[in-house]
Amino acid sequence: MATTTALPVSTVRAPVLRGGTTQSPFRRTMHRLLRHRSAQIGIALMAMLLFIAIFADVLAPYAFDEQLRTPGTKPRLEPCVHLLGCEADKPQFVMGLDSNRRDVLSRILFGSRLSLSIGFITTGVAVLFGTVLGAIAGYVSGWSDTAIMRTMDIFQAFPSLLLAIAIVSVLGSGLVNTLIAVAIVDIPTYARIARASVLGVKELEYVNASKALGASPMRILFTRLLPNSLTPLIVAGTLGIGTTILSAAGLSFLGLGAQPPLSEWGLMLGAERASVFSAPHLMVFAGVAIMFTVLAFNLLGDGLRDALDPRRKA
Amino acid sequence: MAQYIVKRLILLVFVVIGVLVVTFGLARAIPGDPCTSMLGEKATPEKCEAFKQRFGLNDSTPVQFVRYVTNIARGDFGQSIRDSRDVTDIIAERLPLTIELTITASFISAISGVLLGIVSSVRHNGPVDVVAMIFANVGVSMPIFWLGLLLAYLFAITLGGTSFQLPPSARISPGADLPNLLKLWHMEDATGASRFFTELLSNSYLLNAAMQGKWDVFWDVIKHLILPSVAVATVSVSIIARMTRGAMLDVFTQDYIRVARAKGLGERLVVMKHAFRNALVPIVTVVGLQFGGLLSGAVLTETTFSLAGMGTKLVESIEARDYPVVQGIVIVVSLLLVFVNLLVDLSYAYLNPRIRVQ
Repeated sequence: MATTTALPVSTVRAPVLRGGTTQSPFRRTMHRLLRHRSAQIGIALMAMLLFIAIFADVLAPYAFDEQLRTPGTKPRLEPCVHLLGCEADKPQFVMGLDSNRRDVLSRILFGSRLSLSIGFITTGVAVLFGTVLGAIAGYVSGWSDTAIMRTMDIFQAFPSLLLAIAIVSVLGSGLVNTLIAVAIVDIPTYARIARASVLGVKELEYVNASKALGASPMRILFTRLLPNSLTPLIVAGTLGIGTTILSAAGLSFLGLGAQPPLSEWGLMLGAERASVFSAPHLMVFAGVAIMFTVLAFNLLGDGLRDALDPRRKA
Repeated sequence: MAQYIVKRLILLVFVVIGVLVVTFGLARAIPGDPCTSMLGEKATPEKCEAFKQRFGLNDSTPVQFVRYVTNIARGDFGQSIRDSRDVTDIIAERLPLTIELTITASFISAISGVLLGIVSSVRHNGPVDVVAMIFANVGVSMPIFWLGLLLAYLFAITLGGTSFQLPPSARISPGADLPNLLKLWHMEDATGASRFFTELLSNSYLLNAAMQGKWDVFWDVIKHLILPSVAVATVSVSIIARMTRGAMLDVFTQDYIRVARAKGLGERLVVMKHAFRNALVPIVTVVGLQFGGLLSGAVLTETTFSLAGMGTKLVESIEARDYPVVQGIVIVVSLLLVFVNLLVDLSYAYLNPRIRVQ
């Protein structure tokens, strides 16, 4: 006690001002996250994507499925940007036209809505089911643990994309079925993480205290165990969004996911695959869009993992 | 070790049964009447009755499951609805390419990923490290089917006419002389396992060319494999590089590394003998875990490069609603992964005695 009072005021207050121990965990994490280089790039990319997705109507020059028949247009028209030296009498299409005379720029912009929704919804569903199953397995233990986790083992024995394709073959091609398939394939990953985290906290004193006070198992699970085992799930979920977008794009590329005329990026690449040598511009932009979107979630996930892990430096 | 192997084999039986239950269940989960969904417009009540008789669909589910497992154990995956060929024949024709692609990609990803990771860790935070880690981040985020298309364009068109030109599609140059081994060995009449395995060997163009000593054809096949394998390997290269870098950096903080340096050992010896050997267990783990991802990647990349492997056949069969073929491919590829994972697990146990005790 004497040592504390003897310290100069500035040393005592410094950590408080810089965001030390007295900050709420949420603010502390945000603080660390915003100082993390990868996370900064990830957040910037994500902000740009969200902006594009929200304002796609305003930003896009045409509708995503509008076939342009104005003079000077033709299928697979090359990009033409007047500022970059394209002749002024030619119509301007920043990313060119596709085989169906649709504006590629507009399709890419609208595509961000699809890809982000696919990422968030699919991962959300997978995390939800995975967490519930994993938490039950971890908390209840015994035969239900064995039954749940061995089933998860079996699902993980399949190559992920192959299982997703097999499920789509049963449900039928289409965007919604693809989302269901990818979500089912992802559930075991989250179940495993949730189970491990619940096992990590279930013997802690505050859980025993709740039990002693007579809280029901459901109450303990949902108000004591789950909130305290969310960290690894948040990190895995953020990284998982990127993977999900890649898997869904892959299925659409194969023709099993989103169907024409939707402007899903994987589908755009798959549909124009045959034009790779004659109209290479059709191969560039959709791929870049997928890459940056996935990169955004991966960088943010890396940043979150570092920010949420007390052992790592911010 | 023996105890560990037995335990692992029991688990294997369990997982194999599970995989069969899931594939059996999936086939039964196809909405609607199996007859109408498989025969389509050709389905009449008489044909449907014959169809149900033929596939034993009137029996109870457990009876059907037992028959299904027995047939698979005998290597009988049924017949393709589309062209009445045995699914086993289709697999013998298509599987070797997918395996060649996956194995080549495994080599590329293991070697370049580990090297990249070591260099990054030795030059920690230097320009080489930064560039390598940017590459790793981008590599993980890249759709491999897109990368495949870009590589095809770069090496077939942009570099066309130079000595770097590589073929963007097919497994082998048209007109290349690589006779089928069944013919070469006068085994056209062979049936069962000997036919299946000879066909497998024959369709593995690398092995076939090597066995016949046709090294020009062998080189031609390698040239066709380079681009797809690089595309398949990219994601794994990135993951392995990051993992290796992390494991090496952890080891570098250990006392025995400081001792090794203090006693005056050369840096190369410290890195390769002291650090890398000790970082090997997590690295081998992650290299082994990549196999499933590489198999998935091969399925996608075959479409990009128009290669006749399991992936392209799977997609064709789904479009044609040829369920026996879909089912056969899913089972074979999954069981392949299950066995590879078994080998990987056993090799960890060999490398790391602690795993055996657990």
